Amino acid sequence: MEVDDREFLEAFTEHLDRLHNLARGLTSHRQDAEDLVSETCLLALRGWRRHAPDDAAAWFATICLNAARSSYRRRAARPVEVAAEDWLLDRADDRADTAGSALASLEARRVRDAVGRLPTPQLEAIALMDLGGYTAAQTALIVGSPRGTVLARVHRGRKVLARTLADEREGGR
Amino acid sequence: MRHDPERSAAHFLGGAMTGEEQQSFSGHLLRCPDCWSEVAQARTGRSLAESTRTSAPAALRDRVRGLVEAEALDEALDAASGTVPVAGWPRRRLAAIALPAAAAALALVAVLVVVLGGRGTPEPPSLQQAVADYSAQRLPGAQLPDQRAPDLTGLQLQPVGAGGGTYAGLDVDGFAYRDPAGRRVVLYLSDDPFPEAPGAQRLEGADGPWIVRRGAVTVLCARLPHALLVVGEDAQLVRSTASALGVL
Repeated sequence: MEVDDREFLEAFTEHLDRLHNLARGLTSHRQDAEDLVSETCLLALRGWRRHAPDDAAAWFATICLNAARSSYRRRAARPVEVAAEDWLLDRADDRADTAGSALASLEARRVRDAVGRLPTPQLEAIALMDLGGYTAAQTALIVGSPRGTVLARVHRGRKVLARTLADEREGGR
Repeated sequence: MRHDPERSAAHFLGGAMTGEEQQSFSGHLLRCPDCWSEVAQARTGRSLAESTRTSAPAALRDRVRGLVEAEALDEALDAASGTVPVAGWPRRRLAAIALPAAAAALALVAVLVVVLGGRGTPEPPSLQQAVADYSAQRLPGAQLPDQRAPDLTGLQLQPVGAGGGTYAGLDVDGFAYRDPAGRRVVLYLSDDPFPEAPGAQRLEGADGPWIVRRGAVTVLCARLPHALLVVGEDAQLVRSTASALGVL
């Protein structure tokens, strides 16, 4: 492997958790998120060979967001392995040591579903800032909007999430 | 300045205020229920979203490494052969055409090995399908299995997928596991016994479990207490899994 590719792999791996969380926010299924990260990796590698970016974190995220926008991953249906994870967790509630993690997983799924129902600009802002951990300045650069606009979007998205989840809990009682 | 709770709260939480503005707004918050509510709701929403953060799965790390290595290999091959990618056909797309052809050729070789290696006895279709699905990281089907995944946490194997389907008339439940090193093992459980593979090595007695190697994949089969296949690339892990399940 060339030095450039090795440096790329190190940089990409360093940001992999953030990119994975971003991709989870931008897609509906775990497998789609992993496909999106893989696509981001290939696109970024080819770009990296031409010119390594100054802010790798924001650059990877921009590629990831553009790849998500250009495909229709949120609507894609992927059966097989993904279906099983939920099944395993749902059935694990008779074991005390896994009951907590099963509940946490259900809560995470509820939150993800609520994020997925947000209007796209708010969804992207939440996915970048709260899931990917990018700053408001980086997010503004990535989505190509002024920082104030990004702050307004993420703020509204967070309020919707808080209300939606509170309503669901009320309804579940 | 006009009183705008939403904008003020967004800027306050987004770190877009000067130190002086922040101090002033913090004092204002205590007296203004509208601004307080804006900040409280947004904080709750942020915490909820942040609570879903997870680490990237080991399989994804492996996949990323594999992609970069494959790209590096493509690059090296192009450089060595002096070929220039066809205009409008990136290497990856050419590889997408070339790789299935290579895979088909390999599959043919595998079939020949299976048929000839077994002294003319063909590989039972259910075993062929299990090995092929293992290699393609596919489960037998998308049906909910009849039972929960066996607990293999003692081997640090975590379930990553499960699904039921049919292999050559046998109802089969598949359970996929990975360990922290990314090694993969899949269990196939059925109510009916799996047929014996040609060339299999018997491990214990005439009705005991048998083991066989197919390419890079090891298959261990037991009939008691359940009809079970353990499939994996790491032969030692396959044996340990069978042992943990009490069939060895």
